[in-house]
Amino acid sequence: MSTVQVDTINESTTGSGVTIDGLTIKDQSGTMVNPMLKYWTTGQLTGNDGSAGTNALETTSQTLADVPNWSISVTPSSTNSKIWVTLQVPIWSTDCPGDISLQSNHSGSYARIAEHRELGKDTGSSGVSGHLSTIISPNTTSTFTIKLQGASSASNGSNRFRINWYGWGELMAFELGA
Amino acid sequence: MAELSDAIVAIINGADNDVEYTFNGAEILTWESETVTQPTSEELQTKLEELNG
Repeated sequence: MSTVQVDTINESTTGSGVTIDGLTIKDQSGTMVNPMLKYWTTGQLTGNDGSAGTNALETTSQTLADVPNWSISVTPSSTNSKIWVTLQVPIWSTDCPGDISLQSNHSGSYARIAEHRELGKDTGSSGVSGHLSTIISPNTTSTFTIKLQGASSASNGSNRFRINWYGWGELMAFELGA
Repeated sequence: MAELSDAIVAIINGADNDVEYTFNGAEILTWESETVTQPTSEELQTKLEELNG
C-alpha cells in the first residue's frame, strides 16, 4: 500500500472534476461544500400495528413525553459541523390533534429544535404523516442525544393522540462539514 | 375489533377529566389520577375480551 501526499489536486480537463476510484469530486461551483461526513439513524421503527408496545406512544397528556426508542446519539467530527436532523413518523389523531417535538441536549439540557403543534387538526380520527426537519450547529465534538417527544393537545383520558401508530417511521441525522 | 387502548378508555369512562396516561400499545407507561386506579394487565385483558365479546 502506498500513500500520496500532496496539498492540491487540480482537474486536468476543465469542468470534469477529479475522479477517485469512480467517485468524481466536484460540484457545479467548482468547490466541494458542506460534504456529508457521517450519519446516524434509529433504523425503521415499526409502529404499534406491527410491533405492539415497542416504538409507539399514545398520550392523553399535554405534557411532552418521550416516544420509546425514538432517540439517536450523535458525535460530530468537528465543532464547526452542522447537523441536519429529519424524521418521518405516522400519526393517528384518535380523539384530538397533538404535538410532536424534536429535542436535543447538545447545549446541556434538552431543548426544542423542531416542533409541530396541533398535528392532525381537522382530520378527525385519522392518520397523517408527521415530518420534522432542521439544521443545528451544536458546536461540540461530545456525544449528545436527539429524541422525539409527543403530547396530546387536550388533557384527559379520552383525548388520545398516537405517535408511530399504524405504520413505521425513522429518525435520522447527518453531519455536514463546514 | 377493540384494541387495548379502547379497554383503557372503557375502564376510565365517566372519569375522563381525572385521568392522564401514556401507553405504548402494550403497556401503560404513566398514569396520573387521584380518583381512578391504574388498571392491571389482567384487568385490561378482561375488559378487552368483554369489548370484543
